[in-house]
Amino acid sequence: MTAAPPPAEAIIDLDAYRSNLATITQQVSPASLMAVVKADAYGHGLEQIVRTAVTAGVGFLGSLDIPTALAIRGLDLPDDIDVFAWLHSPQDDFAAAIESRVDLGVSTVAEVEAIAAARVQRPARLHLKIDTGLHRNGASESDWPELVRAALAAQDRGAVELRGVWTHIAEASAEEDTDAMRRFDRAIALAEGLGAVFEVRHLAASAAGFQRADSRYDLVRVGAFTYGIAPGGGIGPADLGLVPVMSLVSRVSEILSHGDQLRAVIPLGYGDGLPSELAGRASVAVRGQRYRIISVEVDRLLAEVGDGIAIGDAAVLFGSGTAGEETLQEWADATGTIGEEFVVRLGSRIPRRYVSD
Amino acid sequence: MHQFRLHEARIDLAAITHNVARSINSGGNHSAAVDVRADGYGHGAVEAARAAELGGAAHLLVSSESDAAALQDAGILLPTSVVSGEQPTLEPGLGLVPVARAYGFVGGGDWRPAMRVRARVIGVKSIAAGEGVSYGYTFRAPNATNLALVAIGYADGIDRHAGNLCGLLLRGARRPIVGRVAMNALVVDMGEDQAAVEDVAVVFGDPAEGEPSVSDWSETLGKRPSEVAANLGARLPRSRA
Repeated sequence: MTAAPPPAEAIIDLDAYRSNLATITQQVSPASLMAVVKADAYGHGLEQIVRTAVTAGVGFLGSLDIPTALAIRGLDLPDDIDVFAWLHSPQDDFAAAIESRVDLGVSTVAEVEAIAAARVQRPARLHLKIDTGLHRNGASESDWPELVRAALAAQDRGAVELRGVWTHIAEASAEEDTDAMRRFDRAIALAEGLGAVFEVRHLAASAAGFQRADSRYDLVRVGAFTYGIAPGGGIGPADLGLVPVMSLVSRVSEILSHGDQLRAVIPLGYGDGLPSELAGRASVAVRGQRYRIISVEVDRLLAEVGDGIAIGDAAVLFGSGTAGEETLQEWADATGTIGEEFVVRLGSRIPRRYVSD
Repeated sequence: MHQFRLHEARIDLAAITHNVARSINSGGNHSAAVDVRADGYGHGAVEAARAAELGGAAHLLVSSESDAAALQDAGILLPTSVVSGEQPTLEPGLGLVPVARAYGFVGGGDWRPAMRVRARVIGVKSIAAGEGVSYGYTFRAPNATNLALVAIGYADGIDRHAGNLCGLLLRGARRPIVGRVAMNALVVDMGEDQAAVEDVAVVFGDPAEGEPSVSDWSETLGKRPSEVAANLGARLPRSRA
């Protein structure tokens, strides 16, 4: 039996990724860029994205967690590449992370102590997190002095090395982000008053880092924008000088007649991670024309089409727009979400194909 | 002890076997097909196929020849049919075990849910009235309250629309998700109760044990339970009950 072609492929344009890295690097300069590669590089494939980022000169990678950080270290990158992990399970191998020089984000005294207790020769490199209003992790202002003191005590024992201080902001409004920055400044000043010295201060992610110079501090953590995923709300990637990196391309597998209507069958469905709310809200491009998706089923979707399309035609679901297709921003705006949700959800059985000039 | 790292989908294969057998017994004596598309709707196609075979299934439905070959390679000997769409056309004489029954998406009537999704609490804090939670501050606390940060997010298959809409079972009560679901975490409102780091929250599981059901989620989100389960099961580490 010959292998059937896959129902679709995700084409990853590494030139677009490099172009976005260059645009963002220039925009955030003199702050540095941390390229965030969590969630399998937002569904784009960890290894290829990491290698491309490092070759392009990115010196800091954000991995989310220790297993991903260790996978990155397993790629045998140059020694001076920094890798940052910040979401920990008590089951994580802190010793392996420290040995592999993974920078660790910490929010609580318990985390500092668990890390300091790892039996390794080298000190763990810590970034202390303050909660400046997002109310996810990060130490509350009232717990902050205790966290700083615990880290300093562990540093005096040689178990850790304080390297960074960081937070996340809500991007609810410019005023509230400014308030968060002032809380961040106060937390830094308080920690410095207790004797802490921070080499890297970081607060901003894609949107704030791109727009607000005062949010950049020493380092900006950018995920979505590096993949050409715009924030939405009408703002597309081209408005920011970014190029979408992923295109999802399938083909017309069948054409059905329904009364006087023609419906193209595309062999991708919610089993591949495409949400059913695309039905009636988004389109697929065939031969440069957009056709409305009318239903998303387990393993196929239906689009209402006109004459002049044929079985086997390429069907572009999302991409950079050059083949007439919608961008992720348009899909996201139409379905009330953000572009990231589509790419991280895309089934692992859809092959990723890397292209580059 | 909870062995999983941060979150998991625990699959009860005996529940699939039970549900398939029960559906076949209640549906007459025809030969029955079980649908294992979408990686067994997130339960694992190979494992679900084996469990279905034990329950008396005579046939399996898949989306492609390569999915059929994968089952064969795993040693599944049942015949397969490649079908597509929501109401696949079956060969004459073949009955279909409805997906909602096979995987226990339907409540009551002794159908047993086959997937339980759980995640760890990784942070707790208290906030004052008026303070916001998560990106965009789409939730602002009307009163002082306690929050728990749970390590599961939209990259794990939680629908981003679940923010300010759905809830998790934690410390004996349903706790609403407040604010936006992030890529790797979400926040629930504990009210006057306190959670602790290391607690385990149930996203959905067995309503007979007081847990939310997959149907609670799908009804709130306005989508099929099969889509909710397929999304989470595809992304989360899976373990066997």
